[in-house]
Amino acid sequence: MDFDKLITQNPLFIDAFREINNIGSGNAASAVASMIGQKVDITVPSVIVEKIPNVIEKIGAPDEVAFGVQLTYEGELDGVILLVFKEDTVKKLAKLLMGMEVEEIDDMTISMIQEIGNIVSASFLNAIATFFSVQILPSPPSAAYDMLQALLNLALASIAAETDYALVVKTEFVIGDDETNKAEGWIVNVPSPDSFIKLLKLMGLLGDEDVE
Amino acid sequence: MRMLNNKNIVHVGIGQSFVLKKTGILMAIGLGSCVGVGMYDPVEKIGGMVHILLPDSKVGKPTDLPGKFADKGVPHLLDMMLEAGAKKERLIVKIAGGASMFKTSQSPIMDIGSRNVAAVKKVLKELGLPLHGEAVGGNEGKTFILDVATGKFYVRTVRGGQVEI
Repeated sequence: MDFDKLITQNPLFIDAFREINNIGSGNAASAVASMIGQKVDITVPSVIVEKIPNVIEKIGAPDEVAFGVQLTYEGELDGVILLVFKEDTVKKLAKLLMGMEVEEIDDMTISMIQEIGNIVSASFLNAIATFFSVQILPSPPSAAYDMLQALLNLALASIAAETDYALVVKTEFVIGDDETNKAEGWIVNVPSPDSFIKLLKLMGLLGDEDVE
Repeated sequence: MRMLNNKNIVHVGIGQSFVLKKTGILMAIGLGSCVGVGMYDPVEKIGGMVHILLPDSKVGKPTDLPGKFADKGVPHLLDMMLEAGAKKERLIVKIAGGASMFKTSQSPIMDIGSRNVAAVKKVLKELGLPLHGEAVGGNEGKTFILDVATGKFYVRTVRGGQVEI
């Protein structure tokens, strides 16, 4: 059975994968909460299984402008993580973390966002690595401010040689409990097809004989 | 420029290719490392666009989205154009995209934008299609637009607004 069939025909596998990501995002939320001293709420991760051209509409408007922090991970599991922050979220985070009002997004703000991205994704991946006792090595993060579709391109490019379908996990997080000072963003995880199959094996849901 | 009427816009998603006749707008939104290839026959007013994600299909599996790859997507779009009645020697070809969105990372997949542009140019050359305009590279996402009624190509960026190419 190949990746496209595994993700489109087995709701149980998708549920299991949602749980794994829940472990990651729970840990990421507490890391950010302790860094900024604010409450961080996360949603239950939504798992998107779509043909590659249709992924974007499940995430947001393709021409919506946002900040993206992207990193790749390698090791026993590999894939791409993209964190998406809306512009007003970045300004609120700058106020929370650096104690200043940001009018224009400058280099300092971008390096702050990159650092938050680093902490969020490292703690996300660490929780998963620890849970399965595997090694995962994240690359340094890098940030961009652009259209959502453009931010998502590389993550989709990383899997598209092997499959027409993407498996993408989106978790929303909300920082702070003050309605007027709420900062929102998303964690988007795009595992490689091989990693997804490996995770199913690690969970005992698939045997070696089930995959080519 | 003409006002863009929402009803006439065809969104060309990743890996997709579309051809329109006489009227309508083809639009590939937010090309990052992706490359959009637009073709236009000014006599028949036939326009086509493909949204390419990767340079090369050789490492990949069989796909029903040939437009994902430069080496399959460009010939596929040319076939669609010819089938619709366009003549190869009349085609105006322009490309956009191929940015390097995320600068500092070391990973090889990060260079995919320039590899996509190189692959598209190579395939166009092999097909004997001259390139009439481009907006490629840089670190900005680009929306690529072809107005089929007029044959005008536009590129839209977050910082630079909309310009004709």
